[in-house]
Amino acid sequence: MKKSEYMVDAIGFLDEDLLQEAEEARFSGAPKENRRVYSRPMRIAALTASAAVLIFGAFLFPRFFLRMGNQAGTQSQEAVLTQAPAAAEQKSETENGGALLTQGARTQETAGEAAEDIDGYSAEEAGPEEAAAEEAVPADAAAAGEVQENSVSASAPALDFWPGEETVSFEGKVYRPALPEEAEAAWKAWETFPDEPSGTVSGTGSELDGADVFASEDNPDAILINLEGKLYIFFLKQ
Amino acid sequence: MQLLEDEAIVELYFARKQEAITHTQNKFGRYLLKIAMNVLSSMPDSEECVNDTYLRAWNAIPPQRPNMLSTFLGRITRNLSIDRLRRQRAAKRSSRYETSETDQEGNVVTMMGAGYDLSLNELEECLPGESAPEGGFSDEVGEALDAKELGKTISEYLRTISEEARRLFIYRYYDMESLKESAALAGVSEAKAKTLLFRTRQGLKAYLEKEGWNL
Repeated sequence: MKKSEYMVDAIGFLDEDLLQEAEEARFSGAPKENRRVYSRPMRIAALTASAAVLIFGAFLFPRFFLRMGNQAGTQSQEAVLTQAPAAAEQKSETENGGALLTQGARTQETAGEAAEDIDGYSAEEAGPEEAAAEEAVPADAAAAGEVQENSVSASAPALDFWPGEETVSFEGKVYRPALPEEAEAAWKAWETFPDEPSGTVSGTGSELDGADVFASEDNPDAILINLEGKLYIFFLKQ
Repeated sequence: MQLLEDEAIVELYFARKQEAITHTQNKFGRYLLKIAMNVLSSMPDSEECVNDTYLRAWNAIPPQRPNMLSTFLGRITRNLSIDRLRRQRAAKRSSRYETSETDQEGNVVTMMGAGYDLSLNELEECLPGESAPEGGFSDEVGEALDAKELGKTISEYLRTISEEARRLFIYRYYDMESLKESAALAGVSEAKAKTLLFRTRQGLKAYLEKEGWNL
């Protein structure tokens, strides 16, 4: 008998408990197909990876999406907060502008009607009180026109009527104060109000002398005289 | 057929009921055939060994009352298979009992007893001392007694190593499973099984030397 065969025989006499331990594991263990596939380090690595995936899936992944959602929500909120006031402001300005324009137009109409009413009376026919009212009404109408003026240009002075009858000279031409009914139409025709004065009045001998004059190509038969913040319309004297 | 617990099957043996054989075959037939095939690599011889196992069990129980039928029956099958292989080899003394040979086309042809021979080759390095004399040991009775003592010493050594290595050793050298099958049964990779078995063999050799086994 060879030594190795002798060894095989000796192993045949192994203690019963050792054999039972091995055979119990053989019969009660997991299916060997499952155990033979991976070594222990590989199984540990696979379990660790599975646990990591589960943790990521159960904890981090929803947080990631929540964060993304929050970011998107914040951005949307910021966009709304940024854009909404601007839009509201724009809308408000538009509405206010439209309202002012409407109000100005109505006031202008009112001023026109008032002027027409006044026009129905003459200073000669009316009494001293009514004559005083005649002077006062154009002032109100001018105040009403101021609203329209402001809505068009904030820098435009207030429109008023020159109470006197003297004429003024500007660029060699003579101008007379406009009547109220003339002023209304002239003012409507005045589409643009120049930013800088075109020159100054001269040769009047009154307080109008040296006042700034605004001329416009839109209305060549009229000038605006600015005196102490008030505008007076004068027409070319025929 | 329902699988009975070991105790119930043993009771059938004690009651001398032939269903004991049927239940044994039903529960352990494939396992015993696997052990025989590991040694003999021959289905007819293995089936014959398994049938002989049932007869041996019938004769042994009673009076014996095994705690675990699988190890009891497996040991019988293992010894019967090894004895059968040795008898066949001794009778024929032919080169066809080599582990393998090549056919005319160069293909490796596995021969009878291949699994047994592979285990044998690996175990040879465990034994300290010079090789056995040509023709083997002369005193067969003395051999058997020594083998039993050596088996106890090996058992002592196996208790000093890990359960994983211990189980692997038993699957490979007691049940004579292939390396791949042993690794699968122990739940380790084939490479790790090979490493563990090598260390176990080296450790066993050192242990046997320390215990005075110098064959």
